[in-house]
Amino acid sequence: MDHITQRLSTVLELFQRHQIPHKVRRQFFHQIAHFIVAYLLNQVLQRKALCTAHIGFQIKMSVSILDAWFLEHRRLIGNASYHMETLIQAANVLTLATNVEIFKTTESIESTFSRLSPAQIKKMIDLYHPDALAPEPLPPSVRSMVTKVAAFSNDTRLLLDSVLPLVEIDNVPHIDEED
Amino acid sequence: MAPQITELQAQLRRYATSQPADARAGTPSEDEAALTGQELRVFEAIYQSALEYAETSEGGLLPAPVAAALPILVQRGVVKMRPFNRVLDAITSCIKVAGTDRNSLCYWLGTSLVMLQEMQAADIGFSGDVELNGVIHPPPAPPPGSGATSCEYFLNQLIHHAYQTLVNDVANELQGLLEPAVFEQDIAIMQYDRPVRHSLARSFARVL
Repeated sequence: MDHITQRLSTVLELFQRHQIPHKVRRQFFHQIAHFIVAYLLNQVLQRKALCTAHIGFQIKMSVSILDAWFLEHRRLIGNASYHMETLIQAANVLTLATNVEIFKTTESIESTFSRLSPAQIKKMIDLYHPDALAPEPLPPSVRSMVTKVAAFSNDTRLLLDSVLPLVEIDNVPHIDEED
Repeated sequence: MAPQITELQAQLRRYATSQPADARAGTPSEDEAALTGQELRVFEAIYQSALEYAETSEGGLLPAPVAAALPILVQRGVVKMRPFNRVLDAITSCIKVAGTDRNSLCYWLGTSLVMLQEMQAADIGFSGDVELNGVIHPPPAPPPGSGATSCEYFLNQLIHHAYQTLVNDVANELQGLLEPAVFEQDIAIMQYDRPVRHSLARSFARVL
């Protein structure tokens, strides 16, 4: 991940050197953060080989490094870290897939995975398979509850558009950028 | 000298030395001559700026020369639509020649943004606020002959193009890095027969 954070640092340095206004810097890094999330999530949603607990942990570790970079530079780039939560929740689906309690009720699924659509959760559960890190098979109750939640939901979003519309950046909650 | 810079210089020279059609056809009026003089000075600023920037391996100069030249001239009523559009053409060419060179792209994006900022602050009929709105999707094209509105529209279009080129370039590069960095990384902490790599172990602990 160091290669990626180094690239981001280089671009940020260029933006500062060439006096790119704060709002434009924010827009840029929001779009890049969204792109990273969309790219990785779309890969997971389309490749069965990636739907394991091991990959879930790898995603969480990678996100933690990216998130640390976004937080470290929040004074300059705003709350780009906001986008990472979607990816953390996707990784949680993979690492918690065998935890019956998390998938016991509609409410617990919706509150734990609030940034994912039921269709996305269902797709990951459908593709999930045990690995060396989590060899237990998927409990049948998890699959049936996720299927039920998806069936009753109108939110059928699956793959994310890798381009974040500029106008949506204004909807991202602010954090205290002066900290 | 890199071929890219030669092409840039050639394009700027062409812009700086070209004459308006009506001026070539006969004796230019006094106003026309003054206009052409001002126009050439603006192009000179772009040309010098490009040259100085290109020769600085450390990343170039501030976009002040170009950005400072235009609003003052517009405010005085000297630069009209035609030369302004040609200035935008010149900068568009610079952005095209920059290709995916991020340093150049950032320089010309910065230049265009500062120019827009200055013109919006100069009270000459520009309606937007780049500090507040940032890069915007260009609005529908204004009616022909609408002066400042057209200037702002074309400048916003130019900024959007430079910005989007930069976003796409960085996204393309990251796409190639993400797969190995995330899905193929060596997580020693999860390979029980091997020693833990401490930097990864710290990250891991943070996530858990």
